Amino acid sequence: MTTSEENMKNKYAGFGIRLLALLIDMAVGFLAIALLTLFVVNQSNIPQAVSAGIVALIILVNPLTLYYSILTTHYFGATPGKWLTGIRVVSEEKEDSYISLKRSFFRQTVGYTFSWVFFGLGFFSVIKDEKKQAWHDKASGTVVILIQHFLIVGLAAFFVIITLTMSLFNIALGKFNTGPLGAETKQIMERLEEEREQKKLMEAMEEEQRQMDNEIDYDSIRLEQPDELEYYPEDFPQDTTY
Amino acid sequence: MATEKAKEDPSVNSGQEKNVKTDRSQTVQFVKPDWTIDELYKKAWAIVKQNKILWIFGAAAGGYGYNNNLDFDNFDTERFQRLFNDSPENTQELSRVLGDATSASTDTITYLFSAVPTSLYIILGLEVLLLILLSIGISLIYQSWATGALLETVQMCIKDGKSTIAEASRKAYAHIKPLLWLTIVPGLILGLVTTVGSVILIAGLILGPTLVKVIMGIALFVFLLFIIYAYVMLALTTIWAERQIVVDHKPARKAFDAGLAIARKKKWAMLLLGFVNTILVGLIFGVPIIIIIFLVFGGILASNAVESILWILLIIAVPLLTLFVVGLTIAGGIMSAFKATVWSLAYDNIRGKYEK
Repeated sequence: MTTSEENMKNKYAGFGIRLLALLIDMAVGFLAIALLTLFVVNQSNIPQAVSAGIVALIILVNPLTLYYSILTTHYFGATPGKWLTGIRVVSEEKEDSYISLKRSFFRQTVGYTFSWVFFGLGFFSVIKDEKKQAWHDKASGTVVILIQHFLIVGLAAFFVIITLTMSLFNIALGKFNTGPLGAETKQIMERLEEEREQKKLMEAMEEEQRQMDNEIDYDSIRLEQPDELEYYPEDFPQDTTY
Repeated sequence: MATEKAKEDPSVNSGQEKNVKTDRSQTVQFVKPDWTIDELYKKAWAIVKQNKILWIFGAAAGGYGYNNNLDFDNFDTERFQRLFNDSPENTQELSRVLGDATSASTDTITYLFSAVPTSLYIILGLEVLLLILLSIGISLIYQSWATGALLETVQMCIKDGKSTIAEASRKAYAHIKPLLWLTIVPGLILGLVTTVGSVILIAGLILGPTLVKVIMGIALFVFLLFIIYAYVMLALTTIWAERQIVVDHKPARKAFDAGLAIARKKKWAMLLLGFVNTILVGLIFGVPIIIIIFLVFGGILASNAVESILWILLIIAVPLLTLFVVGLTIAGGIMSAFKATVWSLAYDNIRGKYEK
């Protein structure tokens, strides 16, 4: 391999570093969820926690949150993960410029969906490709290049973010168990359990009553009426006055 | 006489006439059909077998419901059923929910949501709606792009015998808008006509006096037949219209009109080809599925007698199922590409002949 060919090969980001960038992005996502969870469990009672939960949901399902990578790829050429690992998404024709918003949208939506065909085979095509392009890169005319060798930085950042996320979840769980929310939740669960048991008891009693009603055939019960009343005069004293 | 006939009738040209006698006393003429299924299948299979990139685009286009290769499972008969039937499951579910709502635990639910301001519900609702619309939009764009890329790849493979993802994608990018129009507009218009017409006729059938009910009943039946015919023609038209857009670079509306003109003239040949496609798909997918179902049921029944068979069945079932799912996906991609190639070859045979 000539020096220029080797330089060309080395300038494109390989599968490993791109995978690390993806893992960092996922970790950042979990960190955001952990922060929102902490925000929710810090409330003083359940109704406020539910309200905070809905606010958290609004933040999470916001299209800007879900598709933030479109904007970051257009403006910075990278998501947080790619930025921390020193790789950038650039146009295949002009490798010194970031891609347009339209192309970024296409790459992050249509392109990624295309790479998922055949169970994600499109992502693994990076391994064998000359320019280390995945199917979504080929479809959108982009390449991912290495601008700095930040592998160690990326690995360190990944472990820091994961550790921070797990700590935050731990803190949130602790706050929930020991705080007012935990106590209130326990009360509500006990009340609901009580209610459920009462309901079961009522249903059992109703079932029993129904069974009893079925066993007793009211139509067949007839008070025995004699055809004629049999009076025996000797039973009644004769000289009784009324 | 043969030459005069060719001048009068534009559907017959010199390339299609066979066994034409130059002797003027003989007027028997054999007109070769525009395509034969055998010829199309052989050529298509040769192309698809050689170009694995077609499998990828076939799977991409097939994965998001690109079934417009006229294999009759595309016709959404459920849509018609939904117009006329109430769903008993929905009414039962509603009763259950109402029943639950009258229980005392609703007090708890009311308490839980007591601090949530209404504005938050509105914002959340709008966001979810926006997300749904965005997802539908992306899905439609993806489908249009995948269809365009598949058809471009087929054309490149027919002409030069090779293609790349980058090249096919670049060419398909220009066709996204017209293919989107083709996917959305005609179907939407037909859907609206179906809905409005059905509602009016059903309302008349239910509410009108006896004479009106009879008339509405007959009208509804005729309307239903018309709608079925319209959907069939839409499917046939779309096949050619897509190729008009991708191969001949026509705008969407013109491509649709031209596709309709071709579909009107070639509908029986198309229906036959579509029917054969359906049988082919049924054999390739249906037979393995039936075999697996029989194996599973046979294994379960046998395991009632011998318990160890159940464990053996479970151990081999997991890798077998994985293999089956993977195989089905690849086969699906190949089938999708094959059908697209068949229609593209058929289009090459009739290009420019029936559009006016």
